[in-house]
Amino acid sequence: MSNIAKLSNEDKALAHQIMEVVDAVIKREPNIGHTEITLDKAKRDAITHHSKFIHELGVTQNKVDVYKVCSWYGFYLAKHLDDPKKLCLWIVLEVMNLMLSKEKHSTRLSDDFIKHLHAMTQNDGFQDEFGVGKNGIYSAFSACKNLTNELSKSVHFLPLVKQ
Amino acid sequence: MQSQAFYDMVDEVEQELANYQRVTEHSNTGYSNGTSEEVKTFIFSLADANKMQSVIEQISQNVVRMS
Repeated sequence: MSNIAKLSNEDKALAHQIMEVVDAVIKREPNIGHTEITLDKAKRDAITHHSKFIHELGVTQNKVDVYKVCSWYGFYLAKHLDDPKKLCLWIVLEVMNLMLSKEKHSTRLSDDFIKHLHAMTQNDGFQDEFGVGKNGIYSAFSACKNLTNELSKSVHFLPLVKQ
Repeated sequence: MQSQAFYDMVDEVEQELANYQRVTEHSNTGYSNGTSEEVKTFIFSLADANKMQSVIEQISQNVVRMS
């Protein structure tokens, strides 16, 4: 029995919109070789991985987590596109950091940490099924969001000013 | 990719995985974050072309700086 819940059209629209942002930046970057076919292939792989992930971990999820969408889409873009410098990963990391800054308790990962995430994902070689890279990126952002929410419960926490 | 084509792709994958067999046994984490209302509002606001363009510019500049 599958525990993969059917996504609502609003959640599909959410996932689609965030992928459109990533695609729009990719399409204006001359050093990334892409086609609609490779972009679509990355989308399909990301959706499939998302569904398998929540099934493997027994998570009953009926809402889209855009950090999962973004990190796994970025991983499969890096795997499928002609992008030697893996600029698509930088794009995805920047989009995810932008989303963190829009959370209720605005925050961001530092530039140095973003560079570390990029290097770590590249070192994976984009061949793994459940490797450090794509889950590592998701976990980093998800943990940051979670920690910020927890810290916000403290009276001493001072959130960043929203950009 | 058009919205409807994307929706169809999601439906197709969900259908393909409806009978997916678990390869390994994990304890059920039950952990599901979803997306916060704040981020959801931000993402949907990008349907506005001007706002989208502004965000694209911002991301592009940061990518150049970081890479």
